[in-house]
Amino acid sequence: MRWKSVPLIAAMLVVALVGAVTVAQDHERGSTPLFNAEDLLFLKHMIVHHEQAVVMSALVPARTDRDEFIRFARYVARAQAAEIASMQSLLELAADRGIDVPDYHAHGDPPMAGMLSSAEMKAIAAASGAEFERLWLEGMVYHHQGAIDMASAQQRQQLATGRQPYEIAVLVEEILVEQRAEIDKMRAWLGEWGLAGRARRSDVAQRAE
Amino acid sequence: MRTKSMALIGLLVGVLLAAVALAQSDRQEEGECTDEAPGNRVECAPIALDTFDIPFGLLPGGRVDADGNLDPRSSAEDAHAGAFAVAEELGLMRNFEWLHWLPTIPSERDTETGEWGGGDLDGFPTGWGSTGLGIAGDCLYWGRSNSTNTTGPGETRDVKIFRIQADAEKDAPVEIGMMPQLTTADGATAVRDRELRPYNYTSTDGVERMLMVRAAATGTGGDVITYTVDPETCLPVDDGSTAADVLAHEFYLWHDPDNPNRFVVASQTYGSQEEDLVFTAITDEDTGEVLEVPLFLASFTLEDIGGPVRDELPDETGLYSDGRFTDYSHLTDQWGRPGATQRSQGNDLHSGTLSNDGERFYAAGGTAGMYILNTEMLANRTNAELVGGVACNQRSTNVWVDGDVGRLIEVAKLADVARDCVHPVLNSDPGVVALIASDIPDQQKLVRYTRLEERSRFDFAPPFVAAVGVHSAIPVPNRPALSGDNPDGRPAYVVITEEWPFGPCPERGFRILTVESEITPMMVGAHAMSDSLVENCLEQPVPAGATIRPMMHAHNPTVLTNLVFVNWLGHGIRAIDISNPFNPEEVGHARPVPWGDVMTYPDIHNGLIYVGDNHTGLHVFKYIGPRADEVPQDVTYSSNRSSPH
Repeated sequence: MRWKSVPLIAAMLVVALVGAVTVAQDHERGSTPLFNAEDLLFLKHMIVHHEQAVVMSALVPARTDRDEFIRFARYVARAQAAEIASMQSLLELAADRGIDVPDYHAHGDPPMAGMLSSAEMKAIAAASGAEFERLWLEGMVYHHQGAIDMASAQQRQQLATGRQPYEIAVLVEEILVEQRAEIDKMRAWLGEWGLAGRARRSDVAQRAE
Repeated sequence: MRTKSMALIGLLVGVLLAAVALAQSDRQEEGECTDEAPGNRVECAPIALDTFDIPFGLLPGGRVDADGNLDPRSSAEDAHAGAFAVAEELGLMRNFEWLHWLPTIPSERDTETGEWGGGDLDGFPTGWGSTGLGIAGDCLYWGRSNSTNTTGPGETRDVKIFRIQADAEKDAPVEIGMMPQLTTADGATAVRDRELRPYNYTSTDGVERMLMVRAAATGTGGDVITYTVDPETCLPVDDGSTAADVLAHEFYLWHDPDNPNRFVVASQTYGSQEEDLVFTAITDEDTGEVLEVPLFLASFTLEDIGGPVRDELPDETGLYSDGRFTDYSHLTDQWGRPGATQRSQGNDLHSGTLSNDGERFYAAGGTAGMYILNTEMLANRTNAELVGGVACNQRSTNVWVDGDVGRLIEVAKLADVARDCVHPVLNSDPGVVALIASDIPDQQKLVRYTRLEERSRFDFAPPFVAAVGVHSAIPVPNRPALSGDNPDGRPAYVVITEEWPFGPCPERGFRILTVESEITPMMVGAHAMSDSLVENCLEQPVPAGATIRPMMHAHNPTVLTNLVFVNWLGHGIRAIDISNPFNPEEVGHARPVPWGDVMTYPDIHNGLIYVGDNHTGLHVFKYIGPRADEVPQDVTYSSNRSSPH
């Protein structure tokens, strides 16, 4: 052993101590739950919410001749179906990790704020042509706004707890972005296609009844 | 009792460390450490092949004091100085000189604890996602995003405008102005400046002009807004023109070499709208002025022309149409996060590069791989001809029976794809054109075409579990193909990177493809950090003081003839020698402190390299390693717009 090893030993001591602290911190981090109850409830709610968008999108091809509208509906359906699959797998992951996933059964009509009621869905399904386009676009704008509100609430919850839950944080941001852009597009079409201002979305339910 | 235990532990630790130190000393004497200069630990740091492994267990994840130790109460001066000290001590710079660090987000002090937080000196993740950096002339734009994921609603982070100083090595850029960050209609959410591309040009009337294109979004896709800029002041002189119906995730700014008045933006939408790629003219091709209403020129959508469908879901066994992915979701990393698993396959176009002549687009097609598009119509026709729709089909031909994507392909329609303004090089390949026109049965044509189509994309997902897949695709300049089948001397190689935002283990690296046969790209070389091995990634220590794990994949590369600078996020910037593309070799690294996300493209300006870090701000480096003579001097160079300029 040469004298030059002495500072090396001192350095190694520092390294070891820092490493020990880090390991302790790692251990604490590793024990932090992957998701909390609010995260999981967010996933449960958003799955139900997205499923209605998929159902709505399936109505489009048979009720309009507009190619761009049909393409858009196809795009919305597939994007939301992929997000549903992603959210379901996160719930499965939580269960695999021994995290209690809360039960959630949709009930009520509509099942939650930001969704359309069964009467509204029936009215859209019964319409065609310009009337269908207006009801669908207004309904989907309202529906998307519901998703944005839910995602914003989830983001506030994350901020308050200082967490970036695994994959949910990214999903939330995607929902906020995609659905805002899609609302802009749908509102633009309502104007361009001469459909805006004819009726409010709330009128749909009244007529359906 | 307590004292005895402490003494015993101290003794044991001492013995252990002495043993380790001796072993280390012996290893040094055996020559494993090639540089024994005092304090220089670069060559002694753990390495895997030629690749620097950051000592994450020692790396400060937050504000440091003057000695480089974590200290949330340290002064701004100490935090700044300590970062440089600890970077040197830990060997975080090799063949890079860290010239300047400009923190641009101020810290706030907690009056109760006296601790600072929320700023660049603290390594706070202000910009949670992509952020834009761009240089033209001596004007530098740093589009620091904020994200409601970390800063909360209502916070805005304006684009900061800096002037690069005459002696840029000695003097840091000076802030001279700003552009307000946009907000959404609710006012609560700031619109992130994902991408910023400024450009100086001289129009045919001799006027010196400048423009800046901004992609502003809260996440995936953003409005494409073009501003006229005063080249003297670097400040925009108008409110910008927004391209209708375009949402860019990333975009390439192309300057027509045959018409200096003409600029085209190629927007890659990455799933934010139905089209994959949208080309928009942003200047008047006769005058060079920024158009008030940008013109839609053409678009391309891979699935429409018979490519893989977007947002594909697997069957109940996990099988996708092109195979099966690896699955690491049963594993856990040091942050408590599960390993990667595949949930769907987006197949969305993420990014790409137009060749300087405009005739090729190198598509970073996400999980659909890397492929090359023929854009000769776009390059060689005028905007007026393209907008009229006479020159070619402005949108991709839908080749599916009844337009029902993913079902059956109508073989007769495949011939139309070659008449699309933008189409894969495969579809105008003379052999493929002849095949489709031949009188063999449609079924036989389809079998042969499908094989060729799949081979025309370099697609590694599956098996590699991938969220984004191919993130960037940049052709290597000045290395033309020598193959007789590639007589126009188009690039021989393309560099690609792979992304997974905030990705779980394993991480993702960098590949080099040969594209000498443009319809059959193939990987020849790769470079990766040690965490591309899932077992290393899982064991990677958590740096003390870090609030979140930055992204850690190979992100944005700036590609020179034999040298690539890759902003590798948490791994910092890496210099890679690609002189032998079959055997890329890391020749330098720079990891600023505190830990963060080196996110932007590296912009080269007059020989220096400017990068933006989402956690720590703006950094300026000088590369001094092998092939430093290739770093462009007296120009601006970036791989996200026609360069040099």
